[in-house]
Amino acid sequence: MVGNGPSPKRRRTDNGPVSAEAIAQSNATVNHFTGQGSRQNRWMQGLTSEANGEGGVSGRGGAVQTRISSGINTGLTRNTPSTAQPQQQESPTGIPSLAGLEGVEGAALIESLVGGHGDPTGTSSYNFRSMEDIFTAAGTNGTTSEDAILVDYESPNVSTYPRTTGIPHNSRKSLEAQARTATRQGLPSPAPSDENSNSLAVAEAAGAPRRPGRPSASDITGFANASSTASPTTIYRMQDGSLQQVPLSQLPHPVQRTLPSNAPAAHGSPRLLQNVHTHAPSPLQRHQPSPVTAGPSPNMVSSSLQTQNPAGFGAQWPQSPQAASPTWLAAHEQRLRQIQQRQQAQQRQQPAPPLPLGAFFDSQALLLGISGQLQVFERRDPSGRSVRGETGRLCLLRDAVQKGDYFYIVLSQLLCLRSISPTSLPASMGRIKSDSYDYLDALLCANSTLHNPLVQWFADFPRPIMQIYSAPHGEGQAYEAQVRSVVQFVEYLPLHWGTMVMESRRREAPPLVQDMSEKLWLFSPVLQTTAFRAIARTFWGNTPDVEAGIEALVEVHHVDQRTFHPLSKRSPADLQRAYAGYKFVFDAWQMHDQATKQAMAEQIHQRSSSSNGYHPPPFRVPTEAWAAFGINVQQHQQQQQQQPNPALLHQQQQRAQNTRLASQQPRQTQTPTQNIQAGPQRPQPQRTPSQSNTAAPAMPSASPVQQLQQQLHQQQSAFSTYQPVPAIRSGPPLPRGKRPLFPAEKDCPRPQPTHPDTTRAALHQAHLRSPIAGWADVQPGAPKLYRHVKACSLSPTRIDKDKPVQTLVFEIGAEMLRLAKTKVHPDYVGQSIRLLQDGSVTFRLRCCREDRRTGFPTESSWVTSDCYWPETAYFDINGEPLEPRRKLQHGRYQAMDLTPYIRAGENELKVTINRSSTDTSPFDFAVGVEMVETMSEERVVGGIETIGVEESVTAIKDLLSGGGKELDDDDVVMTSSAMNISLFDPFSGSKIFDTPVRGRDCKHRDPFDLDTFLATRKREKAGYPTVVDGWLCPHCRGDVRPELLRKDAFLMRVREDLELLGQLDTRAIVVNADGSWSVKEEERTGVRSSSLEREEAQVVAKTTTGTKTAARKPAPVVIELD
Amino acid sequence: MGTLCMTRLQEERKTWRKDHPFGFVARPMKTPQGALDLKRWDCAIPGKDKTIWEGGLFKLEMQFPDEYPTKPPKCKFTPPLFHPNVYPSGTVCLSILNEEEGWRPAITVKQILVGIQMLLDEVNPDSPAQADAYNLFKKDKSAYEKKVKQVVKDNPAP
Repeated sequence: MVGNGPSPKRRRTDNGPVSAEAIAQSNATVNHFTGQGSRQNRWMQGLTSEANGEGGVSGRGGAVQTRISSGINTGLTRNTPSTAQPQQQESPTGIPSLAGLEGVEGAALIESLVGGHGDPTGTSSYNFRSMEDIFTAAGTNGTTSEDAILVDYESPNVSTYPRTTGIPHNSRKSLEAQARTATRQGLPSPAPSDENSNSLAVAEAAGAPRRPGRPSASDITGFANASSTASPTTIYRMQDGSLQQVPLSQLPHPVQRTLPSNAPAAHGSPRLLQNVHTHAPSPLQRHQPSPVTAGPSPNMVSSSLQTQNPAGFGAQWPQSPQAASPTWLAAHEQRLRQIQQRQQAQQRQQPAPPLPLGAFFDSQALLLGISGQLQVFERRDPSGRSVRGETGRLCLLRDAVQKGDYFYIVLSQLLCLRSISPTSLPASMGRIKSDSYDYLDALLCANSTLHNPLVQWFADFPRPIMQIYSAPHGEGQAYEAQVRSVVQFVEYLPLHWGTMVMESRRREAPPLVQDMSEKLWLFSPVLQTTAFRAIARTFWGNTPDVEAGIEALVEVHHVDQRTFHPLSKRSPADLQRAYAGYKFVFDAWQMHDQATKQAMAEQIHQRSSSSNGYHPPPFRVPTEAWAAFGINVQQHQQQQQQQPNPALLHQQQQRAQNTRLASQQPRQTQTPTQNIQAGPQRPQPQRTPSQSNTAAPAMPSASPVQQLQQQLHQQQSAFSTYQPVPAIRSGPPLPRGKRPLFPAEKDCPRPQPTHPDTTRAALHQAHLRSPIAGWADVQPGAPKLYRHVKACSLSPTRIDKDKPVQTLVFEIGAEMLRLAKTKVHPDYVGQSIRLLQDGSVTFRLRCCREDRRTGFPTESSWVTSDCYWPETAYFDINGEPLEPRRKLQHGRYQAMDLTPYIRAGENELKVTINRSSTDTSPFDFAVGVEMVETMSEERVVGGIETIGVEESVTAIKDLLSGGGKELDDDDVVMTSSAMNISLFDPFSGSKIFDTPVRGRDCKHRDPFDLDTFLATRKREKAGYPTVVDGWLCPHCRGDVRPELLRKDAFLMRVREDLELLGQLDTRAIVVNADGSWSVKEEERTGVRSSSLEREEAQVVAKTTTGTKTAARKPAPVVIELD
Repeated sequence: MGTLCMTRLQEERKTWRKDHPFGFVARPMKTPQGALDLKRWDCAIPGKDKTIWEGGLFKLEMQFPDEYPTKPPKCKFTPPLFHPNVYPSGTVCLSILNEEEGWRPAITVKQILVGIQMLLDEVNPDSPAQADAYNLFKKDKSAYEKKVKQVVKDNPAP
């Protein structure tokens, strides 16, 4: 822990060594090392600003210094009770290593950082600054270089803490922007002519306002260049938007990671965007870039163009189902003309923008052709068996046309072209190795098994390739772009197919769309489903009766397809969730299958004559499986932006062969010429695939109309998922094992609401947790420390529910000198220290329900009230937002620690109420700031007042002579003229007290033993200071904080008398109205155990026969039977 | 484990054996070796006279934590009892058994058992612990009572 700290500069600033005496003199020292890394951002900043505000505290580095000299530098040492003399020397190690303390009398104790509440698990209520705050501090507001270093050093951790309490403003905005652009890429623009609105969306997304008066074309190229060249440009753009003034290269990691969320469209992470467009499923594929487009990254150019220029291209092409409208053809003609004109106009300035391939084909006509072929084959064999391959392929093609899946259409054409006329394949196909085709054949049913005329027909579908390539208006270019995407896939197929199948079988879950698009570069929805089915079949083998199960899986797969978006990668956890969803369907179906088979067998057995009577219930996909896929897209977009997917990175590297990938470097992508050079065309020998039987082509069974409707629905729902609303991931978690809803008798008990498993139940507030207690050793013989609420700095003040904002001011005076300082551990990231010693004070905020009529009449009534944080209230202390922990923690809400934010003089507590004006629910709460003091045992014991004998007896007399109205306590048994006082200590229950104490306000007279009481106060760890809220009377749960403890001299005298009488085993006495007392006779109210009788009889027998004298020896073997 | 805990438990056992309410059972379990396990007690609570629970005897297990008596013991009906304030696991939901609510170190085993006996008939509808009994109790008192009588019949006092 010494000397290796990441920020030596900070620590060593004017720090000198601490002398051993200094440490020794500061008795009862507590330090606390916290375990939560992220927290320190928050309070560290609070700390520095606080220190700056004070202006006088020079050394903020070392904890030793903190402990001793926090007051020293301001010249206040003489007021500090237990700190000795000022010591300006400081430890070179910054912190008193425990090693350093070992030889010293001073004790190192550990206190939870929270300070305030009595939570044995240790939880604290620190707020965090959002990352933006930290960046601001680092980049612009940093007052000293120290601060900057601090922040730099801390920020790597920042990104790791769970951000569950809400998306920071900034990223939320960017999410919306993302969502907007994402939606428009695939949807017909609602107002195609409104160019500006769409451009604006992009500009917003880029974080830079669109400059007026700039021509659209140059804007486009500007965008393209900015996005495609490299990060430096991007950062410059960021500067324009004044989002960041710090050079990217100099910022710590998280900054780089957050940038994308600020500027999704323009950030120098082109590969993400590129992925969108090259990997997108059908709708996005219309935007395939033209290979002719100049620029280092054609894909980027096109992506920018699409988003920038909605009126022109792509975005407005109707989805194929909508093409059914009769007016569409006319509109199509008109649009083509517009495109031509636009292109001609633009060709003068810049290369032609690409058109999606789908724009060149009329899907209606294509569908007509397919259904014609289908009819031919269905007529030929109505059962469909011998022409399975043919109809299967036709159905796939039909699906592809309906879904606008040109990836598959092109793939199909190329595949068949290769069989019919290999020489006419595009040049880029040359680099595909022949065995790749075997995999395709296995998936799609080999061409050689099909009727040759159909293969011929396929080869010319959607149009003979020569026509396509020779067509004007960039049709060939669009086609070529698609070809390259297909080639990519076919090349990857043999490399990754095997592993994908293996992995799927291992986890018993078929691949996700994300897997297929990432690993196989397979972006065809149709082919994805085919591959999915093929893999799913390997689970059950190829028996016909499992088709229903496979279809159930495919049903889930379609949902996966619908929700998949290339920008929204699943996190690893979500991946597992999704796999679990598949596996769950798989298991559920198997169970269902077995059940139905059994039922079927029984049915047949019962009435073998009429076997047609039974229909098994249809299998339904369990809702849990749906939940696994009902995920939130936006959240993933953000994740994706922040953390480039390593798998993608890898592929990108492969793809960009000789190109350096570093985002600072200008990007290059392959041009068609590179592809052409890759290899000469040559005929590939046909191979008969061996697995073609096991992976037969899928045969969609729905009618075309149904599919059309379904498709329409899919597309709508696919886009309706991209709502710019940060949705909460909902849905029940997947069951881990099969366990019944209600536990069986022998099941281990489930967590009870009164004792929740806070490590699990409060995970969403993990960042508020107190540190896991660290490694500080407590010196043997160190003074015991006790914490308790000393006073209310801000007395309980009712929150006015009708005032949205109310500010409460409280003064902190001399207590400031004893304020415990919270420090960052200089060597361990994520650990904090608070040093507590006798007299240290901390502050905490509590909010309690208030009785509207009585309020809090006494301080005790406030202190013993349970803390509760209303959902509609927010709190700021001196401008620092606080984050209450509203979750029950061991049955309680926790107080919020204010110590780091407290300043001398006036402090402001701002309470903000966010309540609807129509909300009529009761809102009776009061807040108070409590000063918590740490005391040594000597001070606790020494401070206890004694009630004199006379006073005590008089009080009893008064009570007995009619003042009994106050006695409503159950534990006080009132007889008409006498009072019972139980003398045995309530803890041990076995002996009389040594020092009789009770609370000042306790209504009973029964005492408890002081030493036992102090010894049983709860501590988070042995030797730590006690928890704050542990001062409850063992008899009545009343408030017995140290100041309220009273010794009873009357009872002390009673004890003395009893001792003289040899009657110290007296359990209770009776005090009469005249003040006299007598030993209370023990009277039996119930029965004795028969075993006790037997034991005693045995003992008597033994003693009488004289065998043994051990009259009091217990007989442990005999157990009483009642 | 704390000596305080063991001292107290020994004392509890001693006082119980000397004097306990009629019909109740409370005795430490035996370990497999035959020694007494003072931290786990076998108990039985009779249904109170003149209530629908009369005539029943309900077995209950008491588990004392190391922090006893600072922390309350956990009381669990074995088998779980049909009662609105008994969790499906059998654990009793009673304020005096909750450290945050009503537990005080001064409460004795006898008081606990008597308290649970009272709870049987004096249902606390504000803290339901099991759905079956609670719903029946709320919606159909006569069916609830019928069910309770069945439970009593199944767990007769000797």
